[in-house]
Amino acid sequence: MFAPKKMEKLLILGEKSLLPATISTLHRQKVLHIIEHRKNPDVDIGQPLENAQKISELLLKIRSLFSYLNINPQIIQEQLQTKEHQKTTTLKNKQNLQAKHLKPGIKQLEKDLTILTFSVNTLLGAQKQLDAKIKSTDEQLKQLAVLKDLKLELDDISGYESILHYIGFVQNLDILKFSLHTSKISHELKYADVSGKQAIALFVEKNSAQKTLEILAKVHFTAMDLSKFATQKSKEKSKSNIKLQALIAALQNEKKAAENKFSANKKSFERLKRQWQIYLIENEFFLSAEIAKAEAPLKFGSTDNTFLATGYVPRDRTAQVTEILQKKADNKLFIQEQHIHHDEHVPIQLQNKKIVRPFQFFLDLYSLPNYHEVDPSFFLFLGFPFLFGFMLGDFGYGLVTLALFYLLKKKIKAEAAQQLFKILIWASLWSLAFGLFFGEFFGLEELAGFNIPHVISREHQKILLLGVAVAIGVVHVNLGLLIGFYNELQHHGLWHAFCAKISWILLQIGSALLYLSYGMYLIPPIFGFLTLGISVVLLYFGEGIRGLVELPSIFGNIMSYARLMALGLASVGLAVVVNEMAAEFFHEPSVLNVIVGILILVIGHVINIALGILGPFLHSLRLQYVEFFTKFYSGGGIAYRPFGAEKE
Amino acid sequence: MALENGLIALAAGLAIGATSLAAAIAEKDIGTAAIGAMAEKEELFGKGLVLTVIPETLVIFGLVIAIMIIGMAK
Repeated sequence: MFAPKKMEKLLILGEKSLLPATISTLHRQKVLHIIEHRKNPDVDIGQPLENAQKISELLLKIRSLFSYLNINPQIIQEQLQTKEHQKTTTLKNKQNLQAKHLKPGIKQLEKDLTILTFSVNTLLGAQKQLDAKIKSTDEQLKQLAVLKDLKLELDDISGYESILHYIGFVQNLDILKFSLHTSKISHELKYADVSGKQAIALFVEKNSAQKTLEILAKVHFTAMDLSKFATQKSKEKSKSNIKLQALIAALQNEKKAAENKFSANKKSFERLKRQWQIYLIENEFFLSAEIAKAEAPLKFGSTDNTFLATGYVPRDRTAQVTEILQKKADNKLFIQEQHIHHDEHVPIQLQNKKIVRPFQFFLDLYSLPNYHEVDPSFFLFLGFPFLFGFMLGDFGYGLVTLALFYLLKKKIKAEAAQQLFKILIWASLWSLAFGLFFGEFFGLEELAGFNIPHVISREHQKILLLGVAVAIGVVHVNLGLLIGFYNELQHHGLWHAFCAKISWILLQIGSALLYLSYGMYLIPPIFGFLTLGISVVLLYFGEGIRGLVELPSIFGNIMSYARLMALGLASVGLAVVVNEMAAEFFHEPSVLNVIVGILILVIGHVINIALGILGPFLHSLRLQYVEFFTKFYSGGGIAYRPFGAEKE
Repeated sequence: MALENGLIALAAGLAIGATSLAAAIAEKDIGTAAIGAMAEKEELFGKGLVLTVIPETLVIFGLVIAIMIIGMAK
């Protein structure tokens, strides 16, 4: 509960032929936190297993299929999980699917993937072509629509010898002026308004081309490319003249056919996706595990004929794992428990009771404890919600936050969020308790003429509240020092622990004695000075010059707990202001006044609760990290990540 | 007497105001650096948070002084 799980360092040595079996046993057991082997002249780094190349190729294929088929494994897995909850029938279906597809063997998988990749590529290729076809037909139809609006036929735009035609869009055209300008050169001018754009068709003699272009440039003419229709027409001139209307109809049919094909293609694409997605996800999962196994030797040491693996295993599982490994290898492995040095980075697995576990969240956020020190989760469990509650300290607010975080915990299922909400529910419970202690309900000290009983009134006994806050600080900081004493005792012996940690406590006692002498004239000051002197000397032995420089910090740390009062006062103050503002409106009841009053109450208290969650959360956390942790915590531990448990 | 009380109130206000400004200036710099560090390495959130709120102590001390000053008023 107060220390990370004990680990054992294992050295596993064996013949190379035993390597694959050993790796898969380790992978299945999920216990060994591998220490990467460092290359040295005697023992090189191992080579990946033979099948690594093949597996990573297949994995790459599957992942590229994920992106082609637009599959998001995470989302689909979540969907499947929620479905499992709702219906057991779908679960059965899923199991059937799994039974049919799962783990077909590398060879079969390779074949399946080749076929699937081929069909996906074919479908995607066809899709691309159809899409291009639809777009170009659409473009042609638009151009033809312009011709139609200009009342031109197809044979109007080609087959001339001495006449040029300009068909296209213009901007800000004054058609009257324009026709005057062009009257000298134009054979014919047509104008139409095509869905908000101005289109013109201008026919001129070949020799006035230069002038026409100048005029057209002034009205920002952009020509349409109609060459397609022109050539079509000129080819078929000898046969029959195709009417514009007929061409449009033909193109529309073409477009429709292409669209139908496209949607059919889409459908079969979706069908393909539905059919294969679970198969792909399962196999991606399977292959990821396989690749982890195949590449594991990269972390091992290796000579020509042997391999060498080292790692940490929780002490309570060491015997069992050793036995299983030996059994699989016919007792041909050499497994040895090694001594763990003091400065080794042993991986950390915290072990806490279920109610304390959410508070490990704060250690993940900050830094895991190292292997040799106290795990402070339990003290966070005690301290964090307590200080939070002291600052929020209102029964009404406590009820609101409790309901809020309970609902959020039901709604949001992510693991980190769950931990956070559990912490905040504890904090809300302490707020309720302190609400009773301070006798506050939404900032009110009396309800309907009834005075809520209290132990301390935050609104009226500020100085007492300050005293209580600082007293909490003294207790909390000294608790930290005592834990620090224990940590030092474990590793540097009694004398060092005493000098480094107890000296701080003596320093406080010395100051308190001096206060008794000069503030209250109870005892002669010599006791105070003596204790102070001893503590300073001890501190110099314990922590050197740095300790002396840091001397005033202990008082700063304790006074820092005055924030418990300060945030509490701010919270009460705002609540009282909101209540008084609203009360003014309720004095002369009218419909409008009552509505405004209620609005003020609701908005005011919502803002105050939001501040009352944010402020106390940050400040309580800060008191833990800065004032409490600095007394004993060094941190820097790395998390325990056993081989095989990377993906669950 | 009224003037005396007024000066006391003013002094208390100054104790809070000046310390708040000081804390704000310090937190601005630390906060910027902390965000920068977090952009590079997200695990630094906890440490960044702690470092950022360290100067808040200034305001707390200001508040304590302010309360003591107000205690002098008659």
